[in-house]
Amino acid sequence: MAERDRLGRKTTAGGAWATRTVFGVLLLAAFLVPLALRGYWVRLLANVFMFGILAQGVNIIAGYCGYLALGNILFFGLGAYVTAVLMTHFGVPFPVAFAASGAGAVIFSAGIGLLILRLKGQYFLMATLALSELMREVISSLDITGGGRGLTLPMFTGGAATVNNFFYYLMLLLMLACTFCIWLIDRSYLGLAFKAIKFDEDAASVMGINPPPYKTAAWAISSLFTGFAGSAFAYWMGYIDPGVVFEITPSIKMYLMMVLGGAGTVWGPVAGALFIELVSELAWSRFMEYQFLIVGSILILTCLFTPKGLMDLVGKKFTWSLFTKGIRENKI
Amino acid sequence: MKFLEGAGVSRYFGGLVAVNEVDFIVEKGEIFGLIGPNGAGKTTLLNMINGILPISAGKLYFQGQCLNGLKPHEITHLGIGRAFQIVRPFEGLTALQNVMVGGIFGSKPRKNTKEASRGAEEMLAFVGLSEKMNSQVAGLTIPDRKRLEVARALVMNPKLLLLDEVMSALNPKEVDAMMEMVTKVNSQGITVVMIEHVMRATMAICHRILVLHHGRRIAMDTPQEISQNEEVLKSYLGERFARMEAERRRTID
Amino acid sequence: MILQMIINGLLVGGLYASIGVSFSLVYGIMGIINLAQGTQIILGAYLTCAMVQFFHIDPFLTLPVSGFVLFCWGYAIQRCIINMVGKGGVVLTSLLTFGLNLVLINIILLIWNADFRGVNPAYAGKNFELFGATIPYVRLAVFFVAVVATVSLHWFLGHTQTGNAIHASAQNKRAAQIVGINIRHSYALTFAISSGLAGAMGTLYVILKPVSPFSGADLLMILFLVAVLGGLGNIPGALLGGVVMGLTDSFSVLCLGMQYQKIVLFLGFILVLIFLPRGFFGRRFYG
Ligand SMILES: Nc1ncnc2c1ncn2[C@@H]1O[C@H](COP(=O)(O)OP(=O)(O)O)[C@@H](O)[C@H]1O
Ligand SMILES: [Mg+2]
Repeated sequence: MAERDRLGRKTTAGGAWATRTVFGVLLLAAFLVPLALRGYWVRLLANVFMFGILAQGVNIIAGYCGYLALGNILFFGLGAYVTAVLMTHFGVPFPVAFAASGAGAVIFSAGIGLLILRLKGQYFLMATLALSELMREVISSLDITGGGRGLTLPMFTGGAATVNNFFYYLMLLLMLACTFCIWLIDRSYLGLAFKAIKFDEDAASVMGINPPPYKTAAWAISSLFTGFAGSAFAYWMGYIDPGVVFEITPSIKMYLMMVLGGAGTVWGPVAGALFIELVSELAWSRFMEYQFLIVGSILILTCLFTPKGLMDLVGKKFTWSLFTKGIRENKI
Repeated sequence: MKFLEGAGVSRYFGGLVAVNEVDFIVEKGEIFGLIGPNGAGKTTLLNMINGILPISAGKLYFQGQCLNGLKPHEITHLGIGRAFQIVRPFEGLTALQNVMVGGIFGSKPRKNTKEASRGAEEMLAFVGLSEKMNSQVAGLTIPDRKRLEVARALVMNPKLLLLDEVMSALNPKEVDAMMEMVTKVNSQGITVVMIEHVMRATMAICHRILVLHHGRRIAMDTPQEISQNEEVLKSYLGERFARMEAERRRTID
Repeated sequence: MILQMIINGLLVGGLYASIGVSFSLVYGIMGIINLAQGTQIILGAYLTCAMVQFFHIDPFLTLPVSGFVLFCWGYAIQRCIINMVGKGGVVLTSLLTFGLNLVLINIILLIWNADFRGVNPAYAGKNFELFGATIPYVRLAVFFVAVVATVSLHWFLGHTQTGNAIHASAQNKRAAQIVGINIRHSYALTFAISSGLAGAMGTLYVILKPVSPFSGADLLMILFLVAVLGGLGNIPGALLGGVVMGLTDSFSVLCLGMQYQKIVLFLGFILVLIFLPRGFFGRRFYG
């Protein structure tokens, strides 16, 4: 009989060993990359990790809780601008600005969340889209943010390699921290509460769960990491304007990565980020004018064929019936 | 102090009056049946008792406390458990995890996962689902889902258990098992309110029955009285019941 | 001045109402949040621009064509794609329409590139005076066409057999199937009607304002607000929502200036969600 953890899930001894070994090797490799590869690859992977953080951010609120925060890019923008404003206008050092960005995002999401997360998912979805548009408009019309002209941050001092490595490790550690956080949630009562809310909120509340605080907590955690990512991004780029941080593609890509990798799983979104960013860099980055078409089509195909994510297909024999499983389960 | 009391309870959906000024009293320790044709407002009444639907007019009291305006989880924490008619397991979770949700959150303060996991296993054993403990609920059969639904409600240690058609779509043998289970639960001191179309079961195990028709209360009495109540016979039990009574006599003879 | 603002608001409100209705219909019947609706309207607008440019015809005459093209597009999309994830819940369907929106934007970009486009009929500047307020004929015509479209849709849903079938499939999927309604067809038809209305409204919209491929995002906010104010799924409510929206629009320009119009719009929407999430009437009508 297989061993089971506290939530009754299988943790077979042999399987755990294999997974742990693979996991350890990958982790070690991730830490050694900057020593072995050129700057291009280091920057590319840092970008992958940043998307990993964004995808994990939406994973907590949408993948676990079922609340589609389509405007989550707003915390990315908020984090980026808090850092940029503090560093340029107030001469605050990066670590402090970084912490302030996370704090700002949490205060904002928790405050608004308590008000709008009493509502059901459809309304929340619309509210977050409106919030991100609002944030963009406000930032574009304020003086302190440089309006549409944007802000130039103080340079990171050091050679090109130092800069690359710094942001590589920063993004990697953030992504690992975020994933660790999700892993903890996944195996605790919080994960059960989130999933219960996702599958049937009424039934969850009849079983003693008060949904609003849990939903707000999920959104706050989500915003914390998204805000951190925005802060790191701003310092990394050295220059931001509303068009850069509120771009339409990333806000859709992070959802694509989450669904493709597996919504509501611990590692899925990271795998999705790796897959999409690498393929996008290697295959379609030259077709800029088809960017939306490609991302949009992959999202549609994912929703149709692998709504549970690619991770769900790992280890299963590939057949026609597996290919059409998503459609068979969901079609009217 | 009454155990559960409704005074003029009503619920409107736009122009439709789903529950119309219903008065009722449930005594502590009894099995209280709730019957009536489809669309009579039975499920709506239960939804108001556990706070999923706001009460449009009237008042509900549980052990002297007014339930109006309380949130579902607050009502649950007062000791009211519920099994849904349209079984609503959390599809992505295993049977055990489903029951654990009730175990962890169903009482205040929250239980830790280890304790809840043990409680959930016992409860699954009680309803006879031990073997399917770790299977995804998507793969469970209808009778199993109904049992899971009952287990989820029971694991919260309720003082009052609300059952919504837990016997429909079961075969006669399974109905017998479920009846036995309900009586057993009741004998442990848990008051039961059950909506049931299976008249054989309702008549056999309920102490008192409330009959709803078009949202109105048309009778509230013991099963014997109900089965002879003219209005009930006319509007609900009708021929179906007469046929059943005749059959019963025949088997006795 | 105030009167002028009220009239402007009312006139554009008719168009907003119609846009809101097109969105509300799909939500009310199928529970789908169509995030591509804004861009569908823009597609209708671009079709009108193209026809006006090629055939030098009056923009109003292109309305049936953009409506019909979008109708067919909508039917195909719902029948072949959205129906396939219909049971997947609001998360999956919303993501799907999110992706669809991106695809549509890209298609428009490829055909017409990113510039703003508009039409400028010869009579655009003509107007008449009423109690001291100036009323452009174009705006009045747009208002009337929009209101006629909305009211006839409402009539169609309430008084025809197809309309009843659509209602029935909203209320009870299983029962509708039992009485012989082809639910896939009903859903596709609903989506098609909504898209067709969007296409027609695109024609009207571009007569008033030039559009870019990205204008769909602003329209999406407008139709969210109109639909929520009226109660998601409620057609008469959306009419009222449209008028309120139009008035807010024209007054915010008057009091705060163009620059803050969008901020007022987004902030207004969030406030509505916080304080009035069920709209003016406090309930949803279908679904
Ligand atoms: N959420 C709802 N919205 C609108 N009408 C409802 C809703 N729930 C129930 N109803 C209506 O209320 C009436 C009573 O329904 P219900 O309580 O489910 O009946 P029962 O459980 O006795 O079969 C029915 O006519 C039903 O259509
Ligand atoms: Mg019922």
